[in-house]
Amino acid sequence: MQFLEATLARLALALAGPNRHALVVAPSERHLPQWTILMGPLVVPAATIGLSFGVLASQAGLSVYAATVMSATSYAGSAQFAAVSLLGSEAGLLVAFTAATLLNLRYIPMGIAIAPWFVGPVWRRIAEAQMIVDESWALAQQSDGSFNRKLMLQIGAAFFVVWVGATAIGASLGPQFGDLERFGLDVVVPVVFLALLTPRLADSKQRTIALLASLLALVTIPYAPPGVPVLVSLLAVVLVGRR
Amino acid sequence: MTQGWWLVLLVGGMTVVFKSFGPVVFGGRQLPAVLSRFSFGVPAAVLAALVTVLTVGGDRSIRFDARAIGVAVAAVMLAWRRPLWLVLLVSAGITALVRWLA
Repeated sequence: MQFLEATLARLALALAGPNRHALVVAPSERHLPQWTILMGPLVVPAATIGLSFGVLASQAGLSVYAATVMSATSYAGSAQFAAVSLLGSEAGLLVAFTAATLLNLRYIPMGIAIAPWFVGPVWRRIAEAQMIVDESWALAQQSDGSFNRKLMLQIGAAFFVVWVGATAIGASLGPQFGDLERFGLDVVVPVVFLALLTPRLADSKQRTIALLASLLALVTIPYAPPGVPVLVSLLAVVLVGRR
Repeated sequence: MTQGWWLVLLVGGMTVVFKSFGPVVFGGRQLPAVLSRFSFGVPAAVLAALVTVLTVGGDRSIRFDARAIGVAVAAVMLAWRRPLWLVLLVSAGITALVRWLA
């Protein structure tokens, strides 16, 4: 659990890049709400990815409404990209759903870690839990290991607005973009996945799993329909886990 | 109903359940260690496989083209901890440029 927490914290710092000093409250910024200071460096990446997702979803055959509803109800970037990418590559509904499910498995331990700070009736806890995303979860963690639930909700809500709004714009513009490859935008999805993967590579076991999974996928690509290499790559978890 | 809408419903429902699971059911308890390790390994494997498939995967073939160059540039920039918006901009630009030159 500590590794996951550290990984997600590093993800937030990596997303912020050279602007990560902004994650620390400067004296001149102390009059601003903490969530605005933390959220600032993450607005552009969130909008870029949301826009890209909208375009991709549109080109995968989803309507503007479907793409926007997906961002609003799922609110889980990597799973959405995986699902839509696989659906667009005609891998099939089951494979797309399975990949998204596997990518979202992390929300279970993340939700458990933050659970003690969720109080009130069940409906309220369910509603508030939807604001858990990698960035809000990582940024809400305090130095003593506790979570600032209010901060998580504020950052999660701000991210939500950017994410859903950018998706709607991207999905609306999607058909006008024509071939995404012309603009090099077909690299956005693998680069986003790479950005999500990079912080995990600091851990040797995760690095071994990632390398082995890549190799398994590479070997499988020529012999299997789209989507199957991703599922075969899960053997890496079993193989490394047994060591 | 189209496959797209089915996907929206299924992924949305699944995500709501996964995100709610901890706050609703577990309270302060942690997952068993074995399950935690498995959960942590799965995203790394799936993400690595997706990067590979989406970078060099063709129609049942492996292809190294402008997209692979763009992703390679992105990998270097991410290692240098450049901000994601810049990584996306540069990698997309380089991919488009290589494609145009080709």
